[in-house]
Amino acid sequence: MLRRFAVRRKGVGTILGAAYFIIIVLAIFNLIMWEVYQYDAYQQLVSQMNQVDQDRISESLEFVYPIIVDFNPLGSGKYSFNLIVRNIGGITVNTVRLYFSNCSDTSSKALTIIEKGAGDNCFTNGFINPGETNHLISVVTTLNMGLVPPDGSRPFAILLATERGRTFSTFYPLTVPEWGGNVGYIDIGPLRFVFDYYSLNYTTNVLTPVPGQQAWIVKPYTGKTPIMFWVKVINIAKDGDIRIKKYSVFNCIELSWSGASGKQASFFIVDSSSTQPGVNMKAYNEEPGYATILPRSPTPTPPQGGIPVVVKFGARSIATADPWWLFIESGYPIYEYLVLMGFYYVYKGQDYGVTIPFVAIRTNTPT
Amino acid sequence: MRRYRTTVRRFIGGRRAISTLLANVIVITMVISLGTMLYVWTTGVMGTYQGAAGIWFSTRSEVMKERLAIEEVWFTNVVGQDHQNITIYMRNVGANEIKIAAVYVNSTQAWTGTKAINIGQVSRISLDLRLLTANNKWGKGCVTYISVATLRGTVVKGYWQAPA
Repeated sequence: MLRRFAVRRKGVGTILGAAYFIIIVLAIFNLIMWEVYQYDAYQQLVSQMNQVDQDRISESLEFVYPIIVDFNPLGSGKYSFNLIVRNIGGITVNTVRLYFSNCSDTSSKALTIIEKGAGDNCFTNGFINPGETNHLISVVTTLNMGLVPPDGSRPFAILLATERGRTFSTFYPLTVPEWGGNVGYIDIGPLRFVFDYYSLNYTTNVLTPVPGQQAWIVKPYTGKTPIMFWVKVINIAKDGDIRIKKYSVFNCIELSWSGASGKQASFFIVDSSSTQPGVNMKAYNEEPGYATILPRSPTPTPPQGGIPVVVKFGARSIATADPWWLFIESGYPIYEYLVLMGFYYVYKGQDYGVTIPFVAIRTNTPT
Repeated sequence: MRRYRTTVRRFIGGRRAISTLLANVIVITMVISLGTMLYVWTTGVMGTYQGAAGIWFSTRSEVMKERLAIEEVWFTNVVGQDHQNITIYMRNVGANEIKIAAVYVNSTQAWTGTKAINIGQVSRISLDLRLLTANNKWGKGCVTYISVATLRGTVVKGYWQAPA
């Protein structure tokens, strides 16, 4: 049988062809299997990274008012406090870093980075479980948050970074109007003026600058003392920034019945970096990049309706750094003033000008 | 043994069916050579395809693992260089080491180089806006478009507002 098979010539080509065919089919099958394996591995990676992305977008944190509690000086220039947050997402959040930036300072020292663990600026308790409310993140830092005015005039932006790459931010302090049933501000166009005790300040050439002193009663004040007024303004528009123009003026009308001359003292806008008239006051430049900008209201809307910006008035004439005063008499007379403000600005590329019925101030009155 | 010698002698001395034998040899030779050529060509083509596909899968996998988060953009002043610096803090939240290749500010290249960030680590890049154009500065309150590109082609971008 075997011998007959060995000596026969029939079907040799068929056998060889079949062998080659099988080899090629196997090679193609091997290629397909390899590709299926590669594609499967790639799809596994895609699924894995999709899961990472899904986890990331599942993170949701909120800062809880009043955001910072339990402030405590530790000595040696260190302070401790707790940040209150709540996890309203569906996944545990691991906090890896905190950024505290002083919004009224653009120097390189204005940003404080607080790391997880130990060091001069550190925090602990950064794991926040889903559904956890009033979670306290314990912070130890060289940053004295106790000095931050509660009126929001010098706010901090606090940014919390998570391990998955999300960031959650808030402003501190969050200011809530305390007037029952009354808003405590006026809105004219996109401009909002808040009437709280700290929204109108002043400095003179002798008064220690920053943040100045409340200007409802200016005292002691004598003639020819250069003075500069600080006014808090908020842009409540969400669709455009506002650029203040150089014609903006803080106009004090002297009431003659109080003994004043009945004239008007007009203080024009100065550069926002000015601190004291006659000492450190810079002329205002209304060009983009230099002008005072009222940024559009972010989303979500802050409690005050937008981001407060302090606008400063102190120049005798437009776009100069010449200091100016309320009156020229000597002594400490008790005068009264009605203040109107003229605000000229560019909003969405168009020029506007509005008159703001603002405040009434006094000089040297005892109460 | 003797029988074997006789058979061989008859085979060599015989004249019958020689053409059939040659035809068989030629056909078998052709089948073997063509089959070998087909096999070599097929494996070559498949190898090339496998190589290209392997590179594609490998590259895409590496890119897919990249996740870069821009945690903070800080507009800073340096004494004597007013409004000319932007510092970007970036964290690698992916599953692969990231190499930053370029940073663009308002669609203009502001930084180029190679900066590696390991998994879970944070790094920063400081930009000097004077390198963009003469007297280039960030404006107070201006919205700035920043994009960060990695060596593998991932681009992370967003808008940040300078302090007012």
